Amino acid sequence: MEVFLSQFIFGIQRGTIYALIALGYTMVYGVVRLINFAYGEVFMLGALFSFFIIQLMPLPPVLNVIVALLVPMALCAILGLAMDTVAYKPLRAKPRLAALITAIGVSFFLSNLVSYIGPDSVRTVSVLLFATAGLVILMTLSQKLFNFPKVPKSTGINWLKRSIMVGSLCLLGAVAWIAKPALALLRWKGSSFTAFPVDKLFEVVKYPIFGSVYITNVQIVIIIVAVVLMVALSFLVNRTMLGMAMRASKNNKEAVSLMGINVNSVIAFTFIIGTALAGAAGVLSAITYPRITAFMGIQPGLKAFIAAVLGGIGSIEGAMVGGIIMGLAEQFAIGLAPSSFGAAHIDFTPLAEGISFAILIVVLLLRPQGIFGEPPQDKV
Amino acid sequence: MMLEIKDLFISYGAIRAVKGISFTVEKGEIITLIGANGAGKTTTLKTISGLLRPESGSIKFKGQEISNTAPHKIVELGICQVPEGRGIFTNLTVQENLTLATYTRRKQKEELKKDFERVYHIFPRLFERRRQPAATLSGGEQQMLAVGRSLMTDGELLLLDEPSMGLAPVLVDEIFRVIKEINTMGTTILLVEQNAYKALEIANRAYVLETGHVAVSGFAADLKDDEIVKKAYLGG
Repeated sequence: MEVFLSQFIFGIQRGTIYALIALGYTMVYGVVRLINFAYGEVFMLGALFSFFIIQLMPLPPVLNVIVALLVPMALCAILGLAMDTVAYKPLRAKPRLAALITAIGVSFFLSNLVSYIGPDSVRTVSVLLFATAGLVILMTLSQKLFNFPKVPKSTGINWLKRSIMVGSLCLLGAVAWIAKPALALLRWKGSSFTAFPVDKLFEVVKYPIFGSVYITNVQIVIIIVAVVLMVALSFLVNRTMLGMAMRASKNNKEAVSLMGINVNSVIAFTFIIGTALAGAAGVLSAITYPRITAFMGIQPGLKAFIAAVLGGIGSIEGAMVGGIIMGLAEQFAIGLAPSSFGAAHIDFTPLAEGISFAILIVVLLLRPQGIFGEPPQDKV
Repeated sequence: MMLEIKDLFISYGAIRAVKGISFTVEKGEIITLIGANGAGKTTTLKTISGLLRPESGSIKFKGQEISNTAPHKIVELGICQVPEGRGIFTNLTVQENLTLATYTRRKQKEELKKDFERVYHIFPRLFERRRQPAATLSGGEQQMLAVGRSLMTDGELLLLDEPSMGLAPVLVDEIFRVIKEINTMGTTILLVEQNAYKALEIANRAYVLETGHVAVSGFAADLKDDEIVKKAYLGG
């Protein structure tokens, strides 16, 4: 019983993190029918941004927890907007497969870029960014002067857009150039493990519940933050004009634009909210498992996707419930495996990794639309 | 002149659906576009509301060129559309459907309250069902919701695409009565209909489209008695 209860607490904690990421998957899928596979990487970047902030800004307790959570969320939201604008918006009218493959590309791009940005390689990244900016300038000039490479007449050369692009590339390049000493100071190690400085946020306190079962202040904070975020999201989706527009876009985007609403803005907001939540999940996860790497997002990203499918992709309640179920299932698989009862010579931890995929197979076989999903139907 | 359309050409890929249509809508009128399936009626409406881009030609609304404007901007200018197939948000409640239509004027709290009352007055059934998901409404009620919703956007020009489609004869009469009523209250109407007889009854002027051209045009009352129109569209 005691084992069960303590595993239950760990499971809920694990589950809320999956649920937060799954919300992004499900919301974007609901509106644009796209699986944005990059949420795992946004999750990783949330943890990474939080790491940078804690190291660079020593703040008094409580305030530091809030800043270390909210600033990464905001940065991830900006990243979400950029992702939509650069990668997905141009493909909106194209077949869905194109956007899906792009999503996988964005995911690989982000994790590999981050793995590359250690103090040793950051200057190379900077040079690459400058070189790209130069290439854009060259191409623009050659188009203007020699009409090569050819562009369709209607698209033409948009000077404002190109200037913004070149400007931001140069800015990023400059940031990367300056970042070397900062990264060295931070001891950020790119693809290898970097310890997340939890001790600067919390002094871990254990509160006994009964017997040997305890809950820590970290766990309490994680669960409270997750619940607050989910309640805020429900309010936004069910009670505001923006939320109404999101739900309507799920149903009929053309009609939404006939209500005088810019559908592209609604989609952009959906990305912003989803990535902010995934960023928050990254911070919360880094507090519990305090090591960060460029590839830490792959597993949680995949499992959150499974959680979204389990709950019924497109359904917000589904993502929440699916996430919690996944967290509990994994935790029980580790905690209640026979090794806990004496069969110590067998390691059952890999079981936890496998159980999520087993769940996916069972769901797809028995109830492909998920717990809260509507049965698939062909629209006329 | 409220709406002025000149030499409009519209294509779907390689297929040219509208081949040089011109027509005008004056303030306060009911204008109807009638014609067989594939004549280009819906395509024309969708292009006016910005959902499709014309290949060439001009669409002027109150003197302003709108042929390259995004649909949500066109709504802000004052054109609202009831799309083909109604375009109801079935996963939202009736009240939410109406509320969403007030997006462009969400700050005018007082007027909105009056407009909700007005729509619920015209369609008492919607008031009874305001908390139900729109999916639970009957076809006729959904059509009423679609019309009510477009009234909430408070446009000066209302584009109606086949409002009578799929409705029982009693409801068809009801919908046409409401269209007339909305027009009397000051909204200009551009009506696309397959039910040519009904449309000609309430319209001021009509344009008969035939495979992307304007075949005949004139006052609705004259067209109703025109032998050619009678034969082709009014069933003898």
